[in-house]
Amino acid sequence: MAEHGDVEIRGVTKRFGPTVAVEDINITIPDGSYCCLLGPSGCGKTTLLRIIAGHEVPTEGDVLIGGESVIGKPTGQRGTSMMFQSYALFPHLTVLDNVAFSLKMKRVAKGERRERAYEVLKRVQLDPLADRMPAQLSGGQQQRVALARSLITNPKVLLLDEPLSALDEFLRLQMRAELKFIQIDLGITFIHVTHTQPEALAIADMVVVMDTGRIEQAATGPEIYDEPRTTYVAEFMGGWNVFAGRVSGVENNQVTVAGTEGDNFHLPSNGHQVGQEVNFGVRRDKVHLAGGSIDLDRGNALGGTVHAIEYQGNWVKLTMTREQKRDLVAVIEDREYFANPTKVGDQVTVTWASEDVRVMERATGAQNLIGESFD
Amino acid sequence: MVRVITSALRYRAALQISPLSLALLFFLVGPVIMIMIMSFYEFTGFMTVPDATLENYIELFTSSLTGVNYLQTLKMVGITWVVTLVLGFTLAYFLVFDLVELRTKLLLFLLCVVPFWTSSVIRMVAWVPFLGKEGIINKFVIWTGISAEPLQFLLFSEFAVFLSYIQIFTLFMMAPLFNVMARINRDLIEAARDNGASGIQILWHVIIPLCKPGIAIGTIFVVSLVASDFAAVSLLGGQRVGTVSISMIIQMNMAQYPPSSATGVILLVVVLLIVGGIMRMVDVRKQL
Repeated sequence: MAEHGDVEIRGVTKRFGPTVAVEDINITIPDGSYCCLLGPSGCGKTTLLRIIAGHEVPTEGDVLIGGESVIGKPTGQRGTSMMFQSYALFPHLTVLDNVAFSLKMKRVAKGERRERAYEVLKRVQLDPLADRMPAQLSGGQQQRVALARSLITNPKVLLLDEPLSALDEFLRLQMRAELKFIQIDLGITFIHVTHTQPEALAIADMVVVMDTGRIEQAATGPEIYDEPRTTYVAEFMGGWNVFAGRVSGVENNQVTVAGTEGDNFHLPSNGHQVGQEVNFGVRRDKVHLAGGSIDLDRGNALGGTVHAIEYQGNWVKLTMTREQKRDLVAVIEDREYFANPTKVGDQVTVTWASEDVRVMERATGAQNLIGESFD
Repeated sequence: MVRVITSALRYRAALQISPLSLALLFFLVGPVIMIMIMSFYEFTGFMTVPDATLENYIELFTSSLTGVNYLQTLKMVGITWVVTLVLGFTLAYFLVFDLVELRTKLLLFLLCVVPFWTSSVIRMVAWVPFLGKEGIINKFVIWTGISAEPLQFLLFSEFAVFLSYIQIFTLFMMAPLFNVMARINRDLIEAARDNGASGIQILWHVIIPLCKPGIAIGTIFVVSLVASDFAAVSLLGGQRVGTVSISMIIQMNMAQYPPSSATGVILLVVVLLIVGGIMRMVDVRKQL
């Protein structure tokens, strides 16, 4: 039985002329969850949001909110409310009148609508600025007004289009915690579009990674980060070293893989056949510097030259270049690193345990990786 | 050091605006002052004598014709304003919101400007073969049998004057409206719809308020152009329409310069009061 704030998207496709913005999207966002649609620009995440809001009509497919199809239902009557990236505050109205706008449209009496708008403004701590014009507010304040204007409609689903992208770093972190707090407090569904990976992981109960109009993976933050379904998810989320190869041997519960770049790898067996192509990766923080020299043929050990060492407080990011091969990044805990430090230009060997290797599917989309990835 | 830069900048700014200031001084301020001075001269019936008399103004304010002329002028201004506002708003709305491609928008906008390549007097006269007794419309009316007689009200009438005003001045209303509408953030319209506003409510509560500066600028154009026009009235009005500017022209044609000047000064004051009122209501500078 569908809860009243469930959003179910069934086979939604949207075409703009010959371009396909989103293609055959199927997903259910549970009631009361914080969902982030994550992807690079042009991946279709905003189009999907606008389809849910009713600002776009899907070419094919259905959208159900609370188990009821909303296709053909006007934007203002779906139980959704949208917060725009530009905030879209009415410049000719005061903060209070902006917030009270939807009540005015419903012909609520002036006294009552001002009172209710004032209540919502209190909730976002903007009541002292009720009589200001939007142009007199800072970006962060404008955003709170936009939030208040959405909340006053009592939406079942709040849709946020890149709500934090126009704020500076400090405000962004503050506001994202506040958004999460408000979502938990209200218990309604939030669908938040972003191209910032840490933002999605930090606040979402459900992260939907998109690429070129398709969903690559929809799961909780830890699942997305630790068990990326495809190489695209791993590379887009960052924090991974991704490899490809062909299975050369299967013994007991260990698979040996001959990498496309000539290296040997071991990974846990999972019904692999000899000769099968595999894509896999290892998290940067599972990669360790091998003290002394190690036999590179033993597998899961790669040699190279230290290209960059970036100290980050509790960890150190080490970038290793390899001739004619892809770079490799190791994220090493500060104590472990300083027990055996290196210099730029040093020859080093890195290694990892085979149980830290994750097998993934090869991504088939355009694999646009422009985003604010983890480094 | 700072002071030196400031005064140098000030000097440069003054230099940069001087050609326009001088032109305005010679061709606008100068003549207005001359008219003002002239309005206090004495007119003996066939001679103009330098003086400082209020005679011309007293005559103007006591004449019953003044009120009639002003009523006529206000009627012309009012009706033209309403029609050009409705037409200009609709056209601008169509160009900005209904058309998607920028090229089509600009092409159609340019098309509206094309008639301005000819003089406005020619565009007024062009109505004569169209509206006259033997004109296209009357021929059609008789041919179809709508009327046995040619329609008299079409030409040399108030109607003809309105027609030419609307034709010529709609663009003056449309252009500033086009300008302000094109700057409206589309997200605002979607946000309004998201907040449950219907099409009419979006128009009334979002688009029209945001168009106010454009409406104000267009209104200033239309009001001052209609109030000062005498060409359309004399070419198409057939001496049936008596406005303030026509009375001024009649006086000038009879070499009655001082009373004519007084009429001009009062008309100028009235128009300036209207413009001032509009500027007080709407912050026009916001959109300039």
